[in-house]
Amino acid sequence: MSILPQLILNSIIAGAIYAMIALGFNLIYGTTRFFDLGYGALTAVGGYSVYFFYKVLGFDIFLSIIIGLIIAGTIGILIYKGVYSPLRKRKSSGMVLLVAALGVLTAIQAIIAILFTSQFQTLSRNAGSENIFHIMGGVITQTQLITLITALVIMTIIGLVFRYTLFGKAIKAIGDDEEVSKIVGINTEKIIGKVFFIGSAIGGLAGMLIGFDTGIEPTMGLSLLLKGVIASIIGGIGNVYGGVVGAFFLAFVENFGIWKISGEWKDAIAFGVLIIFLLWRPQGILKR
Amino acid sequence: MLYHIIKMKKTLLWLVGIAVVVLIVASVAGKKQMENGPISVGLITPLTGDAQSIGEIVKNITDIAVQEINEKDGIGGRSLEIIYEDDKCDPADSVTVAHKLIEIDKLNIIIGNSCSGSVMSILPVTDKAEALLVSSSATSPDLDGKSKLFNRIVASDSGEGATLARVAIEKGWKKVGFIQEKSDYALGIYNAFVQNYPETAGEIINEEYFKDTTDFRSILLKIKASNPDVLFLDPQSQATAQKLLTTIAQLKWNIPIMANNIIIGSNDIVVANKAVLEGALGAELTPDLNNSKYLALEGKYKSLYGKDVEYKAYAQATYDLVYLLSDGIKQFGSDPEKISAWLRTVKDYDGASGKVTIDAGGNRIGGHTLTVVRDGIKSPIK
Repeated sequence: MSILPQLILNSIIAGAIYAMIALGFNLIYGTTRFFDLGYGALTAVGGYSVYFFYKVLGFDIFLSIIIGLIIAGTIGILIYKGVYSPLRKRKSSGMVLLVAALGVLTAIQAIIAILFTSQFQTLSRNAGSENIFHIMGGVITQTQLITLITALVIMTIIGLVFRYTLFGKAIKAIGDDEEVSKIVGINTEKIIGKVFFIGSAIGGLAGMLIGFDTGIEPTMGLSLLLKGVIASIIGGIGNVYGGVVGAFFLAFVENFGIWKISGEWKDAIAFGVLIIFLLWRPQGILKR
Repeated sequence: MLYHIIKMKKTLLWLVGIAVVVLIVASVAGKKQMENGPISVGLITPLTGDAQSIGEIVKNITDIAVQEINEKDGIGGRSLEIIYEDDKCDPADSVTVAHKLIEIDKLNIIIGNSCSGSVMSILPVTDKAEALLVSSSATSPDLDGKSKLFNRIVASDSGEGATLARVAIEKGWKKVGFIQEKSDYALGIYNAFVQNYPETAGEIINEEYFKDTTDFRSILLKIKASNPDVLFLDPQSQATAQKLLTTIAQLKWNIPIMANNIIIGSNDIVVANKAVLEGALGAELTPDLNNSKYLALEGKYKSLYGKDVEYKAYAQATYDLVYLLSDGIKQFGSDPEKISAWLRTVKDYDGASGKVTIDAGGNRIGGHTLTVVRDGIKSPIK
């Protein structure tokens, strides 16, 4: 049956979304070494910004996306400066930061729900009339294709930045050892701030693309974040390419897995794979 | 040593003092309804969340009915007041708000116009408190005869499942692809369908999913691969219904569709997805669309809220529910047992949903009519 090409495409589509989330998350984790759960909420921030400017106010789509990116990035930086940075300066334990991040996630979700109601919304102005492409016997929509390309492009850009720019090297240095980086003269606060801006913008972009594909709701952040975290851990936490590899690996396992088992087991499969990796190969597929 | 004893005594006194104050405040705050004040009835409905579209209709229709009743002298001179609580169509939240209505607002009459799963969770709570629970939206057959203080003004889904199963058999559909949300309401429809679709008629392939699923591609693909003759969509809320229909459109899957009332009952969903739903079949509670009470209600709704009535069956039943309830309270006071017993004797009450008859088990007697969607418009088939 020609179902296999579609199944592969489904896995690629899902993998692209997980990859976008993992990219931003990995960037932040690789630099600051803490699980920023609040990052999940930035997807909703990005999605709802575009909802507001594109659908409610009727702005041009590209303008709305750019505004959305700026808003997501700015909120990311503000959270860092306002919540995480003071806690880190006080040498708070990982537990405290994790709880603070969870608080940030909950608070942002609640604010969005108050402003926009918790109704499920789609971002596209004319749902259902998208361009559809036939590839290898399966179908993929324009939005899904754009998501895939965007994920790969961002991955490439980040990889190049890390290798060839001073900024990238500074990020790596901070990720390796923040204390030494400070001693060597790197302005860690400024660089981490920029990392949060970029990472949050990527998260916001992921939220926007998901919004165009299926839709947004205030609580979309947590489940997306969990998948992104699983993808990062499986692929190799802290490694930019690792997050992407892990994302596609996870998506394939999930989609092929529910072929034989009922669809309700999807999340169980995802976490099962995570546990297997944590037990047998905790460093992930690609090393840092 | 003496110092310590005095300090301990002081602390003890403070604690006792605070405890006394709290007790007084608690007992005063939860005072019973005053004899001449308004009569309060609780209403639990999903005002936010995925199923918000149902809660919106319930609230608006209830508001209209209450206002009409109060304009005409209320209930024996006292006005009817509704205390709304939002349960987001979540069974856990509904139990919390049920407790609040019973224990803090001291209500013993509650309208549970939420998802069947929520109403099922509330039932033990209201039963224990000997409160009356009525519903015009909870249609799961599993609620049949669960309590002598539970009554519903809307027919259960056993008719919906049965009607569609009969159609499937008539059309010779040997393989039914069923996609069902994991909720009590959706399960009720599935069970009703299965009961009326014997093994000799064909095979049912059922895929279940949790309510926060966003990616339906592979689940639908799996059903598609087994080549069913018809696809039965059984979601719990408009949000998941829309996600399902969008994915079916993306997969360019042309297959006969049968859908539950969440899809068929919603004008918004039917119009927004008219391409995919062309020729889709549903079984609606036989709505009496030419009923004069309903037409008046529809007109009033449009002028007040600027839009058409969604989920007409629930809207009609809710309107009748509020009126019936106020009749019951007028006759018997806020007495759950008496009102419940009386509701079960209601026969041919002229309501906006046609003639309302409730059987001895507390269920509305009513039929389901087969409905077909053509070009975004629903019409019944004999």
